[in-house]
Amino acid sequence: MNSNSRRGRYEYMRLTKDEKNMLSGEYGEATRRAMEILVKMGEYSGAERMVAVSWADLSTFSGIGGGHGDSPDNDLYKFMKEFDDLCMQENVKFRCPITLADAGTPERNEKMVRMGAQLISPAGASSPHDIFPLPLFGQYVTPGATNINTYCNSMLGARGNNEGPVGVHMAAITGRTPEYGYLLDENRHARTVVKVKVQPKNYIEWAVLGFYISKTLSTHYWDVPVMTGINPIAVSSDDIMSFCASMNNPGSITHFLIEGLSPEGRTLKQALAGKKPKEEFAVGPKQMQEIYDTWPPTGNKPDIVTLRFPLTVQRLYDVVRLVEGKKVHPDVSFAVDFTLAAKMVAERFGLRKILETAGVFVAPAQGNVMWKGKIIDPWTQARREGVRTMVTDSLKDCNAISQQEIDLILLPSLEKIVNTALTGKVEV
Amino acid sequence: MAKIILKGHKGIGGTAEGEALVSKNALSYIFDVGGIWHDPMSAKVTNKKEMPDWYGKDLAGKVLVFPTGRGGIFSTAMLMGLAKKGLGPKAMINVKTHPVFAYASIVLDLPTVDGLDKNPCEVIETGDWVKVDARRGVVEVTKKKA
Repeated sequence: MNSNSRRGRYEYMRLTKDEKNMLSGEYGEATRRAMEILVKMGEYSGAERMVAVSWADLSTFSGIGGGHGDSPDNDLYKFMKEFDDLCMQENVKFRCPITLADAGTPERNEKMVRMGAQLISPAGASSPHDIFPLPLFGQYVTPGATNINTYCNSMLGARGNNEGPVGVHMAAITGRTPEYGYLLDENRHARTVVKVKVQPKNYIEWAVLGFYISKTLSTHYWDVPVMTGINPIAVSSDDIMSFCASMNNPGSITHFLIEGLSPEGRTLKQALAGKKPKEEFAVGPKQMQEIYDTWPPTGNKPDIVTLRFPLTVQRLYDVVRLVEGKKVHPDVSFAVDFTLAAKMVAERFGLRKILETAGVFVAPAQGNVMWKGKIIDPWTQARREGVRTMVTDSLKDCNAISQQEIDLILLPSLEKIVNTALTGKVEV
Repeated sequence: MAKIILKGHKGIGGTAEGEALVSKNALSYIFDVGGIWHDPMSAKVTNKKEMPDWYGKDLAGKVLVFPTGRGGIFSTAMLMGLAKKGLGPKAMINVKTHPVFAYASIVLDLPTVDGLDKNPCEVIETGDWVKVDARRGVVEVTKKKA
């Protein structure tokens, strides 16, 4: 690869003069520490150099004791707070366009805005529809949420690794990220062919398809999959958002291609860069059913019913159509989550009133539900707040919340989930 | 005692040694380590479906050997939270370290290595004694069975 490389990796990064100045502390201690962390990551991952970031999203940190938003008793939050305080002292400004999901503490939001971040919707953390600015083909990005990162890679042709909160924050401060993984041409081609033998009918089926693929490739997620057999005309962007979310759960598929849909996979030949695949497997109805059977109806009545994904205007209209003039069962807490754009549509056109009249709780922040008179985040609070059974459209919910020994039930359509909320009985 | 040396590139952090805990599955600290939600908190694995070989095991104080990480950004916060409470691993050895885990290791200065000349999940067995020198990218394995 180069003279300082053994086994095709770089052991020492080649930094520009400006990057060296950052590392030597010329721009202050906060910038020095940020660059030091990035250089360590670059050296570990064998990167030759840093590249300029076109967009970073300081999404939520999510931690122990907290919800999807930042939590002061989270150790990552404490680390970031110390870092942020140093940035304030040194008057550090972000070096690339930054968005921040407004799910943090007011104190942190204020600091981030002073450093140059633009606040976006709470749901923006998980919804590519709310991305601002929209990345362009070939640009280097560091989104905070995994599904947005995957969407950027796979559907927009922008390039990002799943850096997580630390890597994203350091990229924001320096405007740089190490060039490794999916930022490199050679890692963006498909190595696995997935023959899809079903045409998913709705966004939940897309999530189930993604979950199966992600699970199959979980120990070698870097072997980029290309999906064949999908009818491009029958796919919506909501479907793909849902698919991107479950591709990062249970595995960690940061980049995939769909033949005929992805900009780098217009044909199978292009997706594979003319090479033979390392692996091939098929997904049909049997494999899809395996996933549904992982979170089957248990016979318990639902405590909470929630619609978590995707959070778009289309989903808003779908839910309104199903609940208008009806009432949520009194023993059920039914929560829905929307992007800021969808919430604005709901307000502007009287749809929020229809939802609330029916007894639907419109979550103020990502992942929130109403439970026994107070707002909780089931990802961290379901067990301690006494929730026993939850019905969801989200496989992320299933995987994460079931670790708290709560019964999670995945249903295959929006209609069945809404009917469960209305009747108080799980619709099989 | 039989010893095996694995060599790779410079890792994260310094040196550590301890008993190996080996899984063939990818790890997520939020999807697999349900002990986080227990009182008192622990690093116990509760996900029988995805982590059957580590189900019921406590990850605290072990040298964790697993292919890679999985599932979202949350593992950074979870791993940091457990480590700050003394419940983190002594070191991590991966086929390929997931970036979300790597950044946590950098912040925690947790010895972490990947890209070794042999697959660590095949060479190392649970119960082996493992010395990790991340500065040199060397892992010394003392087999529990002579």
